[in-house]
Amino acid sequence: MDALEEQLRATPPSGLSRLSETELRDLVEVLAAARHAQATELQAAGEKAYAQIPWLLRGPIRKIVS
Amino acid sequence: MSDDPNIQAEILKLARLLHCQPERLSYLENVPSLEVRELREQVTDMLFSAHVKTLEKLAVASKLLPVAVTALIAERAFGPILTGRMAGLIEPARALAIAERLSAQFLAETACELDPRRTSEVIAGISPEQITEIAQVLVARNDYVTMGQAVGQLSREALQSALAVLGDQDLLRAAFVMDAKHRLPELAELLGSERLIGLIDVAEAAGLEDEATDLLAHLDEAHQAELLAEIAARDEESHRQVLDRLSRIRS
Repeated sequence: MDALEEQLRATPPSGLSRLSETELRDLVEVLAAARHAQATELQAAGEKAYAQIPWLLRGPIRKIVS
Repeated sequence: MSDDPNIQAEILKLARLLHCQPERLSYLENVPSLEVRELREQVTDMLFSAHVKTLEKLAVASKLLPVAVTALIAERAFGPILTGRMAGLIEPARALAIAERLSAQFLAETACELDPRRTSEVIAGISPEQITEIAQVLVARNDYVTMGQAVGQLSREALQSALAVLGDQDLLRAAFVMDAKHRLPELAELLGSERLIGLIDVAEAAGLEDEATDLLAHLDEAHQAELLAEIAARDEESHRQVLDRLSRIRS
């Protein structure tokens, strides 16, 4: 439950204590994978987005985002 | 296997959020559905608060761009997940102006990634015409979870428009996974008694009795009694299962 709490940054619902160690470990893995996928997507999208921005605005926007 | 009728819907919604197959989370079947819902809300907060600083900066930067360019970037570069995350960080009036320029297909994909709690003003502001187009895409994809989660935020006019494009089975499935069940009486009122009774026919034929019972159980007592009387006056035998279940709920 500790690893789950760390991943969620919140106290998990008490009913989850019914899960076995293996099941809890799997749940933590699924959560970590979702966070990782979101981070990867965000990074890739940032690069792709610059290509769509009118060049005059790229400097000011890079300044805000960085 | 749990006898909690809501557990499968909750597992489905959590799996959608985590982009995994519902079967992988089957071990949650023995956890009460209300606690799986609580977990889903915690996971939503976890995902929506991760990278929030970067997303907030992107939202500020997007103000420098014309709405048309922001819409183009959303569809071509950000994709549905990030657009869904950003929708709650942009001023609602601007988010709506951007949404007006997005295709129904992209909006439907983005709708799957929204947290309705963070974007209620945006969802409520989308025109009934656009909601109808989005609903058509979601129906074609059998995406009842997204329909059910968005229903609670729709304006009455948009809800009415969406109901017109949903078939009876779609409607039963979407209503079953709705988060905002307090709007079921309003939905039933918009449907009218004829269609509601038709839904019960469809439910029994399609094995959707749980869905129909859940819908009827959320109506107020007067409306339930009125429907029961009307059904009884017609052909009680063909609605036996749903009537029995509803009588048990009311007793």
